[in-house]
Amino acid sequence: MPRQKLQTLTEQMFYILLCLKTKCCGIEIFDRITEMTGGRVTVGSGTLYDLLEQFLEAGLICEADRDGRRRSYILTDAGRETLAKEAGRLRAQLADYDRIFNGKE
Amino acid sequence: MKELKYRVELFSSYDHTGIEKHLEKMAEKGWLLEKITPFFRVYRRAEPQKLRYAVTYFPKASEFDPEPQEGQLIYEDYSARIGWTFVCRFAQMQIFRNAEEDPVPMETDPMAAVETVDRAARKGFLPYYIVLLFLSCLSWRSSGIAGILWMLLFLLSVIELCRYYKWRKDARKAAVNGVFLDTPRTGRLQMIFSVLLLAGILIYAGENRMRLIACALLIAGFFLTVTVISAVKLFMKRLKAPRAVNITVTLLVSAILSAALVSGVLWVCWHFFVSRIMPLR
Repeated sequence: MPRQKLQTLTEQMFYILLCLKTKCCGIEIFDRITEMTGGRVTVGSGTLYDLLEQFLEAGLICEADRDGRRRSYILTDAGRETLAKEAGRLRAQLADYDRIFNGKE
Repeated sequence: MKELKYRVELFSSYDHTGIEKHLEKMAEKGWLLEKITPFFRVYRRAEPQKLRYAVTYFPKASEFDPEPQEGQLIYEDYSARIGWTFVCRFAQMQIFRNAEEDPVPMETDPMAAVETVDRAARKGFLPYYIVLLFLSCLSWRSSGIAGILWMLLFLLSVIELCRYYKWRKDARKAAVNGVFLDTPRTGRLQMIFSVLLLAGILIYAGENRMRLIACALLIAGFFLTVTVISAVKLFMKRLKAPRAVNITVTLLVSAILSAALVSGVLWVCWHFFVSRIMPLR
């Protein structure tokens, strides 16, 4: 079944939103994600730009600051809710995995 | 030794995979892309080198913008941050290069990438071929070589549109599983049809002197018209005219020049025809 737009998040969407729990400039998101994931997750510049635009349009983030071309963003309440839903979905998946492979209930 | 090379290269604008591979081959031969014009890609001589190219799309951009939009410049800033150098842009297409052997790609989310290509295609590639398909359908009554030429254009439009929509469908399916799908190679198809169309035009033109003169004038006039229209568009950009003003002026000039070209060719042919039959009277 095709992923509904922004209803479930790709790994990159998840980490970009996670970065924006606190105010962050768009260009700093690259470093934050690398630091957060130990280099496991990388985001392309085109993908970052497109996703930030999508999140802005969907009201998941808002512009917190602007200094010339440097724009900072932060999560909105809708963004926090979306992130929380995704975290819940991932926990449920992990719980299912543990139940099947490790016999935990 | 020449420093610049002008090449006519036939790729569909959404064929980013094909264009990237071609630019990488050119870099290995010592030619780096410098800019894209309506007719040519311009390359500058350099040391042969292994470079990675990325063809990306900015759907909100337009050839009629007075300068790059702020969003495009921010996009460039993000790209420079991960090692991608901006090369040039044309309409919605933007080209970057990277000297690293294994750089972080500019697109890492396949679904977002497909949707961006689709949004850009709706502004350029798709309207172009839909209009061509429509015009070739209107001309279905044409007979002889003219009929064959319109048929070729009809076939080209159908094949290009079908290939695009198939790629888009398959790419979206692959993207659900996190996989990028290469675009279909369009260069060869474009080359084959261009050769067939040119051959058809030459056969059509060769049937009699009037057709030869008309075709020669139309082709020369077409290239001159497109050159003048590009110059007008560039002039309006230099004046920092807003997009809407640039489009209006360019369309007006296009309409006037096209009408002048067709009228001029008809006048020459009529006079040529009349002067041929006058002695018979």
